[in-house]
Amino acid sequence: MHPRTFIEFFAGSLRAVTRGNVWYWLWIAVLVGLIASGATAYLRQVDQGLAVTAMRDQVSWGFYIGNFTFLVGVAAAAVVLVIPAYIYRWGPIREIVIFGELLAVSAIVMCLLFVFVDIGRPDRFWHLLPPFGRLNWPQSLLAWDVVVLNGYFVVNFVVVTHLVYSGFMRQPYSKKLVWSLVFLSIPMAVSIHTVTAFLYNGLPARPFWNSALLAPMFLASAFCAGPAILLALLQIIRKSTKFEIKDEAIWKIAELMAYAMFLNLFLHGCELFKEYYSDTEHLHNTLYLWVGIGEHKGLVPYAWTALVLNSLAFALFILPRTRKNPWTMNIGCAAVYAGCYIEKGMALILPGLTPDTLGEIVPYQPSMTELQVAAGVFAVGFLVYTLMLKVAVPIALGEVCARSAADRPVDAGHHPA
Amino acid sequence: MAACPYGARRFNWAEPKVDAAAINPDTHWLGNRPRPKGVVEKCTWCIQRTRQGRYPACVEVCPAGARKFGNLLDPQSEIRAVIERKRILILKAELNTLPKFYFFYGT
Repeated sequence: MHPRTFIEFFAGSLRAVTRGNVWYWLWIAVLVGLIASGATAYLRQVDQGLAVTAMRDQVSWGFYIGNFTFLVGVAAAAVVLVIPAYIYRWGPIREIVIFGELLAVSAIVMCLLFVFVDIGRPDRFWHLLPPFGRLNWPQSLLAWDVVVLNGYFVVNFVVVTHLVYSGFMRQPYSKKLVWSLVFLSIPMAVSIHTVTAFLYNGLPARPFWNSALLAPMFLASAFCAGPAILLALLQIIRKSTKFEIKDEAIWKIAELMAYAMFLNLFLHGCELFKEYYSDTEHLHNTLYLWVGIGEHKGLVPYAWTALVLNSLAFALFILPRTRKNPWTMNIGCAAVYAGCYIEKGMALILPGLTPDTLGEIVPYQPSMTELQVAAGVFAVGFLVYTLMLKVAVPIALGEVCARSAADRPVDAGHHPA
Repeated sequence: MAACPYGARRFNWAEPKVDAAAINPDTHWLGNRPRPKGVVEKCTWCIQRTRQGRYPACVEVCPAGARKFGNLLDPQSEIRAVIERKRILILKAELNTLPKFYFFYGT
């Protein structure tokens, strides 16, 4: 890589992200506004302590960790596209894999930010970084999570950067590098979500999470929610750029989502059977989620909404007619997104901690600060995704390339992703 | 916090505000000092109870009598009797930091 072409690549990328129509700038302005509001809320939290959140001793994990868990699933879901594209060599999905990988990169950025804002003493963060502090690895599962999440981020980032840069130079990309990293990213995607599930699973004091089904349930719902976001994004990309994305590719993803959703619903059913039929004291957490305990029924509407939405989405995606109709498919996507967001967020964290180990029930509703910070983190993720797309799409379409490469055919650097 | 099965861990969600009159100024630097916000509080063995000659709360409520607490310097104390008569285990004794926390076997 020549330094001059790298500067040109950088300048070209900068040019790409600073050009856009009114809608583009409006979108950027909204995101920057949300980031600014999130930053003010976060500074307030640093100043006054985590007391400005609704978390307390009894409910020590809340909205931040819920969003983190959901987004790890989104990041892992890029693998849904990678597996069929590279292993089975199906045509239609191959060209859109890069959007899945870009989504994984932005989702991991959001994950890391959500963990960071949940730290009580952010000034001690460097204790995690091995040369300065001590990463408690391999004893601590949190250390494992740090390793696999950052590893997954690096792998995806290297793959997309290399593909985009090769496209820019109109050179064939290095098959050896891309293929080995893509194959590495498949088990890594499974590992990031499994380790995250183990964070919950490894707490014997919290029976709601202490189930061997937790990791499989995490993976199943991730393979629904991640592609749901991707399907929406692919339709936007198809509409607003010249990028061609075949209907077959979209239908194939929707079909895979139906299978994942079946598995997700089935595993939740197994869990419910075990809890209700055994009817031990451990049932309390499940009761709190599905029917409420006494006057504490705060989670009940969430639980049933998620179940209805997920079942609806399953029906819409399993029937070929509704899967191929853009209207019903988009309703299905929205239902999956909302359903899994509830199921992986509030409906996972809160019943695990309520009633707490001494039987206390402390109702939790995220505070304004938490909502503001979370919106800011999401805005960072969307901004990262938007800017990366703004660079990757014109290059993939062959509209932008290095000056020295302008006489090469567009296809030379056109990667199959 | 989330892992503790006893609900014993307490986090300083805000800057702790302890009434100046309620703080004993006569402690050493690593002693029972108010800790900052954003960290989990450390166990003080219920210093407010032990100063009055009572047991720490966890020792008092333990239904199996699995916990013992007392003055190691007092040869007549229950804790000395336990340490002298039971098999005991000290975690990482080889580091020679002489911890005053002993695990003992019931049999």
